[in-house]
Amino acid sequence: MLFNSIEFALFLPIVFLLYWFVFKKNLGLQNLFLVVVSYIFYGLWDWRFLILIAFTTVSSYFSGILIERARMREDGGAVSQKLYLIINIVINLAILGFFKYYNFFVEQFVDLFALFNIYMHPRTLSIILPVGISFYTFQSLSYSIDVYRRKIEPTSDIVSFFAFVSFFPQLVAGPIERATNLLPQFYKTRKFDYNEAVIGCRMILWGMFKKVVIADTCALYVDEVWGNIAGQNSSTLLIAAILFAFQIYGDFSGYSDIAIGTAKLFGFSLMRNFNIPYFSRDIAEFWRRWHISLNRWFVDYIYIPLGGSREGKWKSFRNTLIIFSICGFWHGANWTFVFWGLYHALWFLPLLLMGKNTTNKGTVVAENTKIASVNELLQILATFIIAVIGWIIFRAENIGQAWEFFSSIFTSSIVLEPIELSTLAQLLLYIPIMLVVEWIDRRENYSFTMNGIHKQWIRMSLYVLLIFITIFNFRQGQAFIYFQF
Amino acid sequence: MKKFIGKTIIILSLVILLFVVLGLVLPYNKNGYMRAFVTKECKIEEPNRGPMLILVGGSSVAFGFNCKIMSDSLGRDVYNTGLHAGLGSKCIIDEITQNAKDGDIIILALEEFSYTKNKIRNGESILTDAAMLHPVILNRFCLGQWLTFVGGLPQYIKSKTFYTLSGMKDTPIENVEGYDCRGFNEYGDYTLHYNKGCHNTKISERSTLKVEIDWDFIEYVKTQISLMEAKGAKVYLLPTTLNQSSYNNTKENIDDISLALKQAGIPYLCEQSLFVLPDSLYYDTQRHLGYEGSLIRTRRAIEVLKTVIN
Repeated sequence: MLFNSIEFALFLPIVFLLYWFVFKKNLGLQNLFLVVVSYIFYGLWDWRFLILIAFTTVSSYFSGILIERARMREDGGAVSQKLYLIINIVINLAILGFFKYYNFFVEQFVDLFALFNIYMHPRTLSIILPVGISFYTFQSLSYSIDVYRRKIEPTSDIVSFFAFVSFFPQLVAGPIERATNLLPQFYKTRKFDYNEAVIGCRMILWGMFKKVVIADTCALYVDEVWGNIAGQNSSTLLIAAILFAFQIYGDFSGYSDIAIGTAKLFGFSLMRNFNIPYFSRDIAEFWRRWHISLNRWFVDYIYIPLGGSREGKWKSFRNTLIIFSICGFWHGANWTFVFWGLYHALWFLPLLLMGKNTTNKGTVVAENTKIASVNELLQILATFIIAVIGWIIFRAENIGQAWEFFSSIFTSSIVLEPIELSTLAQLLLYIPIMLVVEWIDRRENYSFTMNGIHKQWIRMSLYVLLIFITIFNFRQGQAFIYFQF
Repeated sequence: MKKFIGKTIIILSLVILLFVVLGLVLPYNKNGYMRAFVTKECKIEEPNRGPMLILVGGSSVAFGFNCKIMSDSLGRDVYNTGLHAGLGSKCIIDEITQNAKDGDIIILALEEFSYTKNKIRNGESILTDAAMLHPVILNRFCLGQWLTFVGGLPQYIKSKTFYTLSGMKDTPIENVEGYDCRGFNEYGDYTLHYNKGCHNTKISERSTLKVEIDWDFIEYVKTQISLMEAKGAKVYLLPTTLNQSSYNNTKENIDDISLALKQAGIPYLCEQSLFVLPDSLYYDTQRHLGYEGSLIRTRRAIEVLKTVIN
């Protein structure tokens, strides 16, 4: 079920009313209700996916219990603890690896042997990638790792644990929640908070605007161009590259906003996943603001265990290169994603080596002023251009197509007559609106706070207008880009 | 909680009111392509019409036949109800079932993907346009079609808004670039593009996954065929048309679909390959034939139909 669908528009209010009016008095039943509706939500994609997520959940649940039991033994059970953790990691990654990467590795294997004139014909399988598998696998893995590290007590409440892994607002595209943040929220009675619910609705509305109005409109232009690169002129290609940057941002951050906002309606607090990344002043800041939950996961569970930046510059360099590669590969079974990760590593590593990767940490652009300085604007522009170039690699179906796109920019005629002018005209209105709103709220915990607007009737009018614009631009069946990961 | 629900209802009501007002007040494009849905429906709904040979399908049917030649060859009245696959295969089948009469010969030439598991069964946003223009079809809607209808309302109102904002221009037919309801002739064939040449570059992509046959829909088609035959009509299935490159990429899937229909007892009258024509004969998509292509397809269809029609 897509967030931007009639089905979800019917699903959400029904679930909301049942949650607060029927199941409010019994926490256990309320959590069980969340499990049921989350499984319905997920099962509507394909009921077979439910078996996988249930298996992942059970595996991680029992790994936590077994780790704790090993710990309670007289000898401390250090080896057993590690063994149970490794078994759970292997099981989860094996499932993820099979569904996501089996055919890729088979094809690479075949291509490698073909280089030596050894031709093989192994079977590739018609494997359907379960929606959200990368997200919930990482989420459940973080639980068993945190239990092992004693950051969280293992739970015996299987219903709460199932609810934690399958929680429908963030199930299919994040944020990838930590058990230390989300799981305890299932143990506590939730009370309806009017202010949080209003913020939640605002976030849902803003997320829908970014997805339906910005991302889906950009997609009309971008898909047309990418479908026929050779037939486009330079200006069209450049515009498509820029618009894809806004498409993927609108799509993914829009989803996250809807997820976080929806969770707030049910009394849950999820972590922020995007923090105005296109206002970053360098690439290191960009990576602290883009897909925050995933990047933090890689830092906490791969970078730091590898030694992080504690063991000298070169190990730091190696570890950074590793996580950028893995981050790229996480996005999909395609060399374009790996190259995209390495491309970003190329820009990040010099900052790391010069000790400048934390220059802008903890601050936001134009911290104490209304407008950015010229220097900051140039930094933002440079970082944005770096990101746009990376997105070209990300968007391409293969390296050859990425190369075709880049070379066509420089070899096609620079005719200032881009295609789809009506689509562009709309975007010239909507994208600045998004940027202005996010600029105004750059110091806040979320965008579209309406903090400066105090008159009730103005607020209501703006809500009506934004809902109207969003529904006006609604197109059925536009999936979220990150569902494919 | 009451305050929250109350305010939410007020805001959503205002939004719905705005849409209802726009939807009621603004005019639909008087030359919009979907206006032809009304013409075609009225033609087959006529209570006193005589028996006809009726071609049924999406735009590949609208853009793919010359019904005058067919009528002259077969000695029957022929009418082309083809319009747009986005109406949904269920709607297309339901409408012909509803309006079939004794003596009709109905040629179902649905796009092959209609018989596979996809979202086309209940239509796309274009179904909303059709239903708003000819509301009687709402009586035959299932839940899925109602969801499609509601989901298509924003695009419907958006098209009305843009039409109004553009000054409700009445573009002379010779200057029309897109699709226009005036492009249909008296037989229901779309002919506006005949002198515009063929320049299609679209090719269906090769599918890496085996096609999933929609057995439920095939059973539904069988049921509707039985209803039509109970009224005295005869029903035959013809394959759709596809450009050669697309056919090369999707042949395995198409063969699977043909086999499925055969197994279900409603086989095509002929092989798909008979209606696969060179890429150069297609107008703007891999299914829309130009003038020459539609003649070739018509003649081949006539030869096939002669074997079953007296």
